[in-house]
Amino acid sequence: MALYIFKRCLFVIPTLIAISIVSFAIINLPPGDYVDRLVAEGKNRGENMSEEQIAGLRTVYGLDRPITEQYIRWISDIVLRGDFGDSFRWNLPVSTLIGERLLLTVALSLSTLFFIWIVAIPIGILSAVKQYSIWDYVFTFIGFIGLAIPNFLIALALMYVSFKYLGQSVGGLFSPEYLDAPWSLEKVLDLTSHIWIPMVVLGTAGTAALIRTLRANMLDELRRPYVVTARAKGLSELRLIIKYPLRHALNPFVSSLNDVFVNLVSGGTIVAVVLGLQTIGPLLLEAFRGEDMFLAGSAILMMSMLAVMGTLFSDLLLAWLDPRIRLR
Amino acid sequence: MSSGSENLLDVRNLQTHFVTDDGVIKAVDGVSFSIPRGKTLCVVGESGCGKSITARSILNVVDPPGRIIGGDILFRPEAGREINIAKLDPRGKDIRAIRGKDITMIFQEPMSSLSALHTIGDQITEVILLHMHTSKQEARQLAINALRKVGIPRPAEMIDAYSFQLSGGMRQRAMIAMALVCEPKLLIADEPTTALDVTTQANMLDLIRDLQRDMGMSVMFITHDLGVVAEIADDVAVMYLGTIIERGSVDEIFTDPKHPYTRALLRSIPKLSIGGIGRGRLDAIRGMVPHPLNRPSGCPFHDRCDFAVAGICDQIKPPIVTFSDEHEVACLLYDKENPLPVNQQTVDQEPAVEANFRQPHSSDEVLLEVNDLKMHFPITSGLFNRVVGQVKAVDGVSFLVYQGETLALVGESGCGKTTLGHTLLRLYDPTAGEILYTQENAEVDLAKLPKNRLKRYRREIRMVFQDPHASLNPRLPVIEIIGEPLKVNGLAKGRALEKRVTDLLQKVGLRPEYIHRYPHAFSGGERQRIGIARALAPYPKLIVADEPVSALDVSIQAQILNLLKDLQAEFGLTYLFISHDLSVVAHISDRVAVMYVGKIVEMADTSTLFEQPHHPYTEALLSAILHPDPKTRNDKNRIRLEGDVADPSFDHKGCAFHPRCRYRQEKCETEVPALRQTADGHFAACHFAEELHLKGVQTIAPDEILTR
Repeated sequence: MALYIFKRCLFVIPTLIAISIVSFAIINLPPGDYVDRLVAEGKNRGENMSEEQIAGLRTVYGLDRPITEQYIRWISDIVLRGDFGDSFRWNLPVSTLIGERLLLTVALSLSTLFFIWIVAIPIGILSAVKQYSIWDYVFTFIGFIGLAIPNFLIALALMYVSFKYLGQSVGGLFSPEYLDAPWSLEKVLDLTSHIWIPMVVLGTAGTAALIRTLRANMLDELRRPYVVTARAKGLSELRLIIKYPLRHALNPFVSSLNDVFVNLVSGGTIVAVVLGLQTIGPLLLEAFRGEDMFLAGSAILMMSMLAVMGTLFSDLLLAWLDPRIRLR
Repeated sequence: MSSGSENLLDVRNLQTHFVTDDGVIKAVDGVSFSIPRGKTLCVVGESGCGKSITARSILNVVDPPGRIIGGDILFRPEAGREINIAKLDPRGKDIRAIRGKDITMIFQEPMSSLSALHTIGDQITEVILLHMHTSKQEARQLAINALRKVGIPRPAEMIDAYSFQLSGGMRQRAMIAMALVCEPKLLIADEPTTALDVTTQANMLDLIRDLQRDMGMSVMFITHDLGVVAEIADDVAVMYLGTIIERGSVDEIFTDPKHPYTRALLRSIPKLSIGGIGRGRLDAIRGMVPHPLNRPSGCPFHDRCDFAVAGICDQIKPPIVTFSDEHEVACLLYDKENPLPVNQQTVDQEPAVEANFRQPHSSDEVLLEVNDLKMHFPITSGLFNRVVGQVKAVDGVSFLVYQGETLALVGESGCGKTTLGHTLLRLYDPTAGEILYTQENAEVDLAKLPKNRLKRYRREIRMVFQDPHASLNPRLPVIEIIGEPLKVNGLAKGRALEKRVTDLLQKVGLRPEYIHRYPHAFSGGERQRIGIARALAPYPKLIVADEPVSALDVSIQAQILNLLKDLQAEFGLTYLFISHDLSVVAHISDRVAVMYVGKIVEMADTSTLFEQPHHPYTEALLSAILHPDPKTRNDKNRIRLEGDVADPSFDHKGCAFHPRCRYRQEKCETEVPALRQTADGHFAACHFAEELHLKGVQTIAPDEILTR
């Protein structure tokens, strides 16, 4: 097991290096560099820079060095000092911009994940155990509706409901008064009262998909001989289902956990824009539109890293859950 | 019906039906039987006859939509206490108290019947904690004791093992430990030895018999193998299409079977006897078990019965005729009030056996010469997948295959026989050695031939696989499946292809109209026929048949074996027949090669090998054969092989068989015996082949052979 964990962690390193190269390539994708941009901005203000000044600036920023050296400098700044460079648009260090949003993104992703599990697992079991019952049909119907409606539409509907009937401030993860306030207990409580809308919106499709997957997995497992064995031992149905078929049915689902994670981080952008969430998605969108390349590259880097970590996490979880992976 | 009150179990008119969209499947339709205390009842019949559903009904654990809809299951755990299981709520407390405690079950596939995600110990202690008032520590101790009792070595360690870490035999032992830990009154065993090797099967039957004697429990044993029945049964019930058509004591059933179905089943088994070794035609039962939805009217067996009388057997439901206290038959032949217009003579008359006996093949034209063939698979481990060892699946095998003969490869699972078959077809690239194939008087070494030149030989050397369900593409119709090798090799297309495929279907005994059907529309036996037709399609010379009948019922097995023989005679085919079933091998092959841990340990023509084996391993294999004759049961001289086939990744010092060999001497532990000629045409790899006087098959005098 220790060797397995070590190996898996080791395999993450080349993946992360590849991701960083791609991110850096994206930063350098637009024509011209940072200095060109400064020159252009200067021109707009009516200032003209001399060739020497421009060359000086290039030396200061290291842009006259070969591209490999620039990459090494960029990545070592990130790794050693947590310095992701500056955002052109906000004139702020990228780390400051991303930091809090990253935290919120992870918080939202995790709470959505738990929401999906809590709702989908019991319903999935029920649908399988009582296959073709009225409950199965009802949840299947709701599930397909959940899959079919675009997320942003659900977001709009929920916003309307919460504004009209619950009297809550709509959009965002905080009420306006807490938006720029420092972290406090009240701010956390405010967050929990806001986070449920994006949680439900982002979770609906995932819940529906998971119910279907779990139902199919469970139906496969319920027909296995070991279930008859367990029943012939005299176990009660509920204990039997939880101990045996559910344990087996969860395996494929754990291994697809990373997909869920990736989708939550990257797939929620449209919803985040509609709801005005302070997560990474909208920031990344803005960054691309404004050719804010350090911000964009860093955001991509961070999100890819989250995806890699999610995969690692689900692999290790699976190895822990399934002795066949651990021991064979 | 025997007087019931002291029986442990009385089942009366049990009906278990499955209500489906297509109609009601009457899987069990009015079954009655009794199991006395301490006795063993064997239930036999072809697959699809409702044996397993009957067994599951007794614990009321039939999968939905199956449901007990009528009848009584009277269970008497103690004298004076009677419970009608059929009337209990299938989910209620009362039946759950019986399950796993008073009545327990073991199943065919120990791998899938145990959860792979839970340790053996977890699954055993679970039963103990459910039914006995013990602490977790006590339960664990009881589980360890149970594992020790069923012969699992180092039980205190093995209790924490997972099922996939054990061999098939050990898994089944763990399963038995789980079933017996609460000392049940009745053990229901559903084909518990079918998936095991003959040697393991023999050990398992001994184990069940010993435990039964010690604990005084009753056993209901479901099997399709009449050799097993003869070995362990006290009473026998023969099932056909959800009803019991004959039941009686084991002697009555084997010496005086009454029902035509029972007789036909007994006749369809390949028998081992002097003179019978080799080559008779088997008496197959024609047709197959119909789908329970299309149950024939009247007697369910009438459409396959040689004695059926039109207008009677297809009209009247046969009454139960009693011959002795226990012997009952449901057949109109014996109905006294309503006698059939046939005289008793026809019933006892021997059906004409076709005189198709053939001398062992004497051609000395070599078709295939295999020299020192090796197929090793690397074992990798550690950080950089370093090669740390080799699985020597085939390790230096040499033999000749003569034109037109059938050479059988036998051995326990894991001995490398399947790998050898695959290597001959170059499905693997051999590690070393030669495969010399003779073609138009020139020899080609298939082992070293580049991949792109193999096509031509793959047309001439074809394969038939074990599992007829998995080896046919479910998305292709029969014409595509059989026609593919013709198309690939450019042998036929369009009309000509269709003509060839219809011819082939007729050759293998299927109707040409089936050409556009998909595999799911066929039964197991019919699919195997399709598999054979596919192998035959491009006019092959050599067919490698890997356990082609081991997944089939005896009656169907007989049909397929007859077919293989007919085809061999018609097309002059050469067979390499891979099998673990020695009765089948004795019946079909001219010569036999016995494999153990990647090596051939003995090779001779069939009758020599069966009558006078020269290797202790062959002797043990032959000794483990169960004969369908209760007189041979519980043979004290039977050799029991302990342990499993040795690990092929291990570098064996000396003879690989020596740890299991009863004749081993010092020399065996140090020196590897070479395969050498020990008699004319007889090869064995044993240091003491000449000195040992090994026993061949029990020779049964011809008049004792069951031919009724």
